[in-house]
Amino acid sequence: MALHGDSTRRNRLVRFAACWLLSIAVSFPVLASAQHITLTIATHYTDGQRAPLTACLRQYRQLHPEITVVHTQLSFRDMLQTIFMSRMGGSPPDIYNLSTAWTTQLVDSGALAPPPANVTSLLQHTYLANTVNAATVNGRPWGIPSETDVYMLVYNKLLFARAGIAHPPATVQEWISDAARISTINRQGQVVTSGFSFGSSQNQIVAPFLTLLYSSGQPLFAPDGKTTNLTGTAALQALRSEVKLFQDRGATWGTAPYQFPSGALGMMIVPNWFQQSLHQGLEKRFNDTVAVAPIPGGPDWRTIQYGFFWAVDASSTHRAEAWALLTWLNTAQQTGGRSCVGDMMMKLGGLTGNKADLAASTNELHNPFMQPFVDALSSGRALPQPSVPHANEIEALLGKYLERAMLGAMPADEALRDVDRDIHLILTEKE
Amino acid sequence: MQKTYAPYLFLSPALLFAALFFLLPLTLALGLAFTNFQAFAPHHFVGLRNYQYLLTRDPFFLDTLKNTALFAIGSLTLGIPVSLLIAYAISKSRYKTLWRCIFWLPMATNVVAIAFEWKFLLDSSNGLINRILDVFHLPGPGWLINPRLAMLSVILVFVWMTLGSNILLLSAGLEGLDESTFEAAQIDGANAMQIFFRVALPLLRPTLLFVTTTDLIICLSSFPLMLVLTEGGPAQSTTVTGLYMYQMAFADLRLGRASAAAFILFVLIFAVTMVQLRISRKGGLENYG
Repeated sequence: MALHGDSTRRNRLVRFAACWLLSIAVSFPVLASAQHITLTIATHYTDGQRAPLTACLRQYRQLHPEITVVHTQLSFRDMLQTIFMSRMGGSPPDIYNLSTAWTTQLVDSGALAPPPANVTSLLQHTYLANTVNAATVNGRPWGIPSETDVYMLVYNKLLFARAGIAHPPATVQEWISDAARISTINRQGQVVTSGFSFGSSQNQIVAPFLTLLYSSGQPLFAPDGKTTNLTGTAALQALRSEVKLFQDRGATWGTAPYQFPSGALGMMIVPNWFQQSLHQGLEKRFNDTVAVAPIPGGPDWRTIQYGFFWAVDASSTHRAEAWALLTWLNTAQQTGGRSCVGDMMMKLGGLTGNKADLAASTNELHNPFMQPFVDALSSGRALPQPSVPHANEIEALLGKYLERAMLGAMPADEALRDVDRDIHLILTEKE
Repeated sequence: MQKTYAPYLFLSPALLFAALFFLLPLTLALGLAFTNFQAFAPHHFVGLRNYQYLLTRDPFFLDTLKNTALFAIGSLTLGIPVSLLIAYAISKSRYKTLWRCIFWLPMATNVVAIAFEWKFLLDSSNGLINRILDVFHLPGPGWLINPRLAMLSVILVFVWMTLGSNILLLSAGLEGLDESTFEAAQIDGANAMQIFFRVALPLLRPTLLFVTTTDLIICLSSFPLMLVLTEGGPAQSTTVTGLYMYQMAFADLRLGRASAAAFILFVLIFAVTMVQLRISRKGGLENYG
């Protein structure tokens, strides 16, 4: 009987041990996966554009096997709405590459996590102040600057020579007359070669206007951040110049900067990353065709600078790991070398605010195309795009009114008065 | 008991589908229309403020309603008679099936592909249409870049795009008419024009009512063609309410206001359709139904 009782107890012990081992075995993958982290990065870069970054992320995976990094590509046009939807759905990416124009809107809504002290220190020591300022709200930086772009006048040297023009326009008057001289019109009365291209998207319409406005010494927004300078003389002169450009057939509707390689455009105001598209379109003809000049706004010309920055979502459960990854991606792994992000920027023709990357990129930056962009950025002539709430909506609104005035659908002064009123309404609305 | 519940039981999959994918989104959108719902900002109930803004302060909304009306009227007044004439010609011709196939072919293509194709064809300096006009020393207008012409160009493309389905429906209607009626009219001495206007057209009224009603609803709510062909430009001359609503919701991220715009458009489409049905039924369906 006792023997039977011992045997039963032993059996129970064996069963208990077996169950315990089984439960450990079953829970092992769960425990292992609890330690494994997946970080999601959302950017607007295509596979080809982010190839250097992809290689770096593979390297990071080898260094940190417990972290998997997943990339999500979002179209730039749909980026803000996708971020919004994913946040609403409770599954936002951990890391974003955002336009600096959206900083205020995203910070005000509590969507972004503030960077830790080591990242703030990196920003202070490694980045150009104006690029850090572009991602700063109320004195606090909200991310690491990545791509920085500057608008400049890009022109077709061959078309200038054909029109007998020796140098690019330096003033607004020269710009209008040069564009009219370059334009060619067929017997049906249609512009075949356009002196200047505005494009059809809102940012392509707004950018040239803002460069002229800034060159007159006026920012778009008044210091109070609630009103604009659009009802001033400078804005009216800038818009009237554009209207005259259209009236003189120096520009026509419906042309796009992508037509430049075909020889259909004399001039355009585009950002530096456009270099890649021009290289693809022109190939060996690039050096003989393309040249860059300052904005034709007189001796005190100014231009606009816009940019992107890396940010971490406030609701990410892996914020520390996300910032660690971003710090690694933005720091050169070899002395005198470039960071992974710097490498990507140079490959896609973008500028960067990272001083170490700039110093390590003399070959890429000191060429006839990129040098004027670098000079504009370092000389302070490139002014950051303002970050205000509803930045996209305001840009689209301004574009619509400018378009109406340029095409003669409404007088320039009326367009500027109306857009000023509508922007003021947006900036002062109570949420 | 079984007879009472059986129809509902059989209908339940369809009812569930309608509740999930029609009623629920519609109710949610109606709720949104009374809030200031927008991305990255707290939202709350605002009553009729969205409607008030759209109808009194929005700088473009009323213009988009006018553009929508222009597009619908233009497309119907041009599209229906052309479709009817072609359908009638096909009904009197040999190789009816072949003709129907040829005219129906554009329907097999996606609207985005059609828009891109026409964008190239209507290009002011290099487009095929202006090149052909140039051969005959005719002026080539700026089809898509002239604010006064852009809407007409969009209407022409839309009419071309929907011609096939209209012809197919009207042909089916014509085929369904009793041939002896036409023979009787011929014996009475009616000529081809009289047969078409006095006999075929009145008999075709139910089909015409269906075609105009569905086309009208499509015209009033359609925007993908403008989105790809002109992006609503130049100078917003082709921005219809559907496109403006889309921009409001997905570019400006003002979802509450866009929902209100959608309901204004819904009420307008409903009202116009009711009026159209009322007018068309008089002497149409009621007489021949």
